[in-house]
Amino acid sequence: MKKEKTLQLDGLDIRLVKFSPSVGMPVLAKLQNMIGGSIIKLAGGMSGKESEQAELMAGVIDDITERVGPEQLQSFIEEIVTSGFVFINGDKITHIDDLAMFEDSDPYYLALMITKELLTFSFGGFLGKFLASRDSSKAGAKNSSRKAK
Amino acid sequence: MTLWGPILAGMATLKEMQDGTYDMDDLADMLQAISVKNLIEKRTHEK
Repeated sequence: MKKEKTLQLDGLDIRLVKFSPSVGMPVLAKLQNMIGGSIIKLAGGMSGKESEQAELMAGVIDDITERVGPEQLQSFIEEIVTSGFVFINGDKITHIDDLAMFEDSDPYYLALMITKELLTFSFGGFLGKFLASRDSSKAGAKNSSRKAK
Repeated sequence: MTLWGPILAGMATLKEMQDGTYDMDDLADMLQAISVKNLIEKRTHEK
């Protein structure tokens, strides 16, 4: 699995680095709280193709927008974009105001797109595997209980 | 628990979980391995 991904947004070279576990797990917990509970639904969609994952994550961000206030959403987006895992035109983004340097882009739109891409890239594989291991341990438990009978 | 599982199992150090040595996919693999190990141990105890 690749640890980095590059893409173009509004003519800018964006490099995303997959979250380390110590950063990713708290972000995932926040995401779970913001979507209101279970990540199983999200995990289910994350075992699909990358384009399906991105679509699902876009839906999740829409849900969050409806569930939480704009301030909380903005703070979450800011946390993701300035986490140290985003580089634009080679520079690490450490402050949300760094996005205002790119005059041809709307900073909010850019931050939102980066958030969607980084969450999909970082959590796509993790959540897909999480679901698979959850299913296999369930199946294992089922087999054990069947054997016990 | 999910972050600490692999550390407590001796698969990784806290530093490696922080410094980019491992990413979220690696964590998922470690958790899967722990899950399989636990399942095997459980079945062994049942026999």
